[in-house]
Amino acid sequence: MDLTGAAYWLPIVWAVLAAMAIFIYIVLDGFDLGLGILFLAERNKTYRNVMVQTIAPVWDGNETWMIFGGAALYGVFPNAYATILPALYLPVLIMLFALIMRGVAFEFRSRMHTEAMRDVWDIGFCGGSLVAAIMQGVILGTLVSGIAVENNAFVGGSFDWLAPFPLFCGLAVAVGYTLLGATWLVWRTESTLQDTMRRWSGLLSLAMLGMIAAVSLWTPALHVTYMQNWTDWPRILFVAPVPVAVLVLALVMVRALRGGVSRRIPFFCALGWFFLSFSGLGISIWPYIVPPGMTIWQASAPPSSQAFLLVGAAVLIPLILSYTAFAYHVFRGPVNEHSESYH
Amino acid sequence: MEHETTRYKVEVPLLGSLILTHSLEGKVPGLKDYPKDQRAPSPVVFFSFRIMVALGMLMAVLGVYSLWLRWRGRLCSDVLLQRFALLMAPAGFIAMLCGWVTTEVGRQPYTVYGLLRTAESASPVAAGSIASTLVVFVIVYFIVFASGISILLRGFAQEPHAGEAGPDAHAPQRAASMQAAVSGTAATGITGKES
Repeated sequence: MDLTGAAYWLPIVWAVLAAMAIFIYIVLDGFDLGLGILFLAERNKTYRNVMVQTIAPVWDGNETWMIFGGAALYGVFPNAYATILPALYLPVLIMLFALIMRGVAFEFRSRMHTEAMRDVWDIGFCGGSLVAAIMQGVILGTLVSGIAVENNAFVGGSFDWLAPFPLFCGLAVAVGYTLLGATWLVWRTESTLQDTMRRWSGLLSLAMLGMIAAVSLWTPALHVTYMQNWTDWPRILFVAPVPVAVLVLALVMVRALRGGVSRRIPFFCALGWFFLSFSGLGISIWPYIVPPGMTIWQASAPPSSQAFLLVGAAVLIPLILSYTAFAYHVFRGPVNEHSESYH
Repeated sequence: MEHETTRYKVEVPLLGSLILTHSLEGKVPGLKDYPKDQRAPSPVVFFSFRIMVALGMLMAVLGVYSLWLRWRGRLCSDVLLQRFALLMAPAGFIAMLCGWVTTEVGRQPYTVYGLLRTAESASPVAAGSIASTLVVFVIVYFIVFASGISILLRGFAQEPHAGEAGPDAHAPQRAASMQAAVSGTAATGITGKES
């Protein structure tokens, strides 16, 4: 392959952009799904309202990035789209139903005129968040385990995703998101609620470290390429710092939670773990977009389509990033039971 | 349908040619110029298109009628206008659905016109998966729409009263926010009762 031609580098540019979009999605939506998972654990109704209040102004813009990822897959890597979506039809649809339920529950709960009805929507908010998080992990796990493809078409079964590795990934992502939710609340709330969330953050950090270790050991065992991507010389020089950085962040997290002074460090430590896990995943499956057989180049649309879409992305991505940053800036600062309601 | 004839018609010469080909002498191919297996089911498109256009005309009538009443100074007191506007409330929704049906059904039997037939573009997803998710979609939409409509109706049932406080112009507002008056609990949204 011509290493200087557009047909070589455009797919790489787009793979990086798509990975970036997925990571931004995890950063922005992970904590609000996690907050939903923690919702029923908080028995105090006033604090539940405070929890909702911390994400009310920002949560509905987050799914933009999921749509961006889907559209990029559709326009830029059509062969990946045509094989991943049929293979993951049920988990994707279950995730979609869960996201609809939690989104609607989020908006409706505060408009209910009886406590009982509000409790029903609270269950919908928590359940929807939990199912959506688990399904995102299942989708990831199924993709990493490999998808049965022949002649650019999916040839596996509807329930291939019901396997130990994908389901474990579902659990891992749910635990990770819950940690993001807990640390987000440590950052954005005060008093008793903040103390409760600090305790949750400690427990969930332990659980997440366990999950990271298990998935890191399990993934290379799935496929020989994954193993080589971690152990080949000189690549090992670049990838070895990843697990080391996970442990460094663990020390920072312990100190931040013990000290009880810093508000935002735990949240950024949790995000750091997600970033490192996500990078580790990229290291494992590179250069495949649909493991075990389809590379990003095999999945690509013609260079003309990719270049055309790149122009749109170059305009829109900075625009979306700036209005998102602006929204977070406007609604910054700790939230308590006396704050303005944004419903 | 079987006779391939138009029984009742109003003809405007040259207009169709002008809209579709941007010239007065353009030729617009008729339905019968295509073989039967390349035609869309015309009764569906016939009615969905006409319902859409009729509703659009009624919306324009509503607008013009209200302007006329305003000119005559009876905008707020005309009972006919209020009943008409109430009846027209779902018109935008219905017209949009009809327009969608027109484009999607009118494109049949193709997904990509002239290139890919709908039958050829089906994904390898099992029929059972499609059927079950379709059923779930229907159930979820019923729950969501029923709840949403009941919230809206409760909001409508509260009459406006003089001296009502509007949104605070200086505090940040969400686009989706509703007035606290809409539901009894929204006002206590942030300070809800302790359980």
